[in-house]
Amino acid sequence: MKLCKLPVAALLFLLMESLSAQQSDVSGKWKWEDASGGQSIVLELKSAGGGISGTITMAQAALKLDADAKSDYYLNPENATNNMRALFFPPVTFRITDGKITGNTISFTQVSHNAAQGNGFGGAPGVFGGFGQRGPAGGGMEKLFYTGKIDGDTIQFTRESRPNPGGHLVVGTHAVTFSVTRVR
Amino acid sequence: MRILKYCAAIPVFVCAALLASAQPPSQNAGRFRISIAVAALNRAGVPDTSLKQSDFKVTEDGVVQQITGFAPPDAGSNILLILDHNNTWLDDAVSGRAAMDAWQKIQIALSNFVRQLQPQDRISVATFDDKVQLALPWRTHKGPPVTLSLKVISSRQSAIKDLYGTIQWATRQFDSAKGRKLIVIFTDGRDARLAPQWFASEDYHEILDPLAGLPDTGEAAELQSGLSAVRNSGIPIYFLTPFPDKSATFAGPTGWDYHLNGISGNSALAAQYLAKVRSRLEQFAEVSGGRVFYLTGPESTTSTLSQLPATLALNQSYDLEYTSSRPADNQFHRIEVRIRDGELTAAQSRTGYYAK
Repeated sequence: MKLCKLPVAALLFLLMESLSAQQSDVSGKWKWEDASGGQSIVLELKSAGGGISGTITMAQAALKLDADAKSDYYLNPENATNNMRALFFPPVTFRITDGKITGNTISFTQVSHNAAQGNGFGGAPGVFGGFGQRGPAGGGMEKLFYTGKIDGDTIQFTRESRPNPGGHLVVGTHAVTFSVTRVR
Repeated sequence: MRILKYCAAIPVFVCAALLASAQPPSQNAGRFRISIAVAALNRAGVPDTSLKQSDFKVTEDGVVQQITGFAPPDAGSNILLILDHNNTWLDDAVSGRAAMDAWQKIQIALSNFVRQLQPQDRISVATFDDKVQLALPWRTHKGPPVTLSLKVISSRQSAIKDLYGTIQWATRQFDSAKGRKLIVIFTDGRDARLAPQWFASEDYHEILDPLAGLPDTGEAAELQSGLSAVRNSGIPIYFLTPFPDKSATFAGPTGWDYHLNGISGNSALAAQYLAKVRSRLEQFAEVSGGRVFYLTGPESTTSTLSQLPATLALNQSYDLEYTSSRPADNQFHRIEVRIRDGELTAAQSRTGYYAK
């Protein structure tokens, strides 16, 4: 009987939210690509019951041995620098965690296993000598928080990272915006 | 009353110190606390240090301003000297003989700097990387000689640096200080916020952030917060910046040194990074009324540091302060200091500011 006392508007709102959530099925592949180079971010998402799972793959270059292959990464004979980059720094895939979808809002977390200094590779591998940024594996973890608005075949994301109290190798807060489009 | 600004008769060292940097700062709003160091020079370029507050008139865009703070040269200077011992400014990684040699030269230059201070001057020294450490609490130049341990100033504690946080900390260290106040920071300005991020997966495969180079509103907000703190403090910051164009390189997983452009698909990323570093330093200097001294090598680093008391006209300059309540209009506003005695020339540390 209590249910009957709920305002009609609230019921409608809940109904709309429910419909909206159902409409925003993000399962599938999404991609951001920089126009000037081979940098890309590929999301492979699976949505179920308001939760999201999947992977995020980051790349600095494209490497595709066969131009007709379905791989995202190809060897372009006209771009030797790009090939070198792709060979030495191949794409890296991360599992996403804490994935949620509510209406047209999606959020998830990417964990980076940040590094400590020096792992025997000639001094301080992975540390930005020019900027003193970070090193190879063995350090703390950094969380990257993604929040996106779904609009048809596009998701406009903001990625935030914040200093980890008690952690190290992350200074300041970062917030970057980018859009992915659905790959058919 | 005759006003001469930056005329050839002024000794070169004073000119160099007092020329204002006029790079546009970034956005902000509010009241503007303006401090100006002024040397009163006679026709021979000799400073007159016997003037009173009432001998000065300050105008902003021609409108007379009320001087709210005044310190004569004999009040002494309060100098907070901060050393970046993160060592990213060194050519060769972060340690070893080359690093120690460079620091030894800086230690000698620091001694030369301190020797030129007057008994009434106060100095404090700190070092920083990701955290600030006090190497020398505030003290006057009286008493036992000021010494700075090479180990303390050169020991790198962290692979990253927090320049913005260090600047905010620095502005809070002058609460009870009387007399002229200055912050001098030896740094290449490579705050870790500006560097492209570097991520590693669970199985420790590494990747440079593909989004590096896109506008970062998080960094921008923290920059604005830092600029506000500096503006509100009214304390000028002078940066001694070694090797501003040193390559943006890093040691990659193979142990080779990579130029940023070698690993990023964005071929402009390294240039963008270096430009951003310069821009941030210049914004901090501009809002504070200080300046950036770009240093080209070890010799220029040590000589600039040794000559800094003369360059900044310590103990020859009056410190004048006023507050402008104009709205933030993004415009440059001209400041003029006039001296009642028309025979004296006012050499100003800044000729104006951007109300942003």
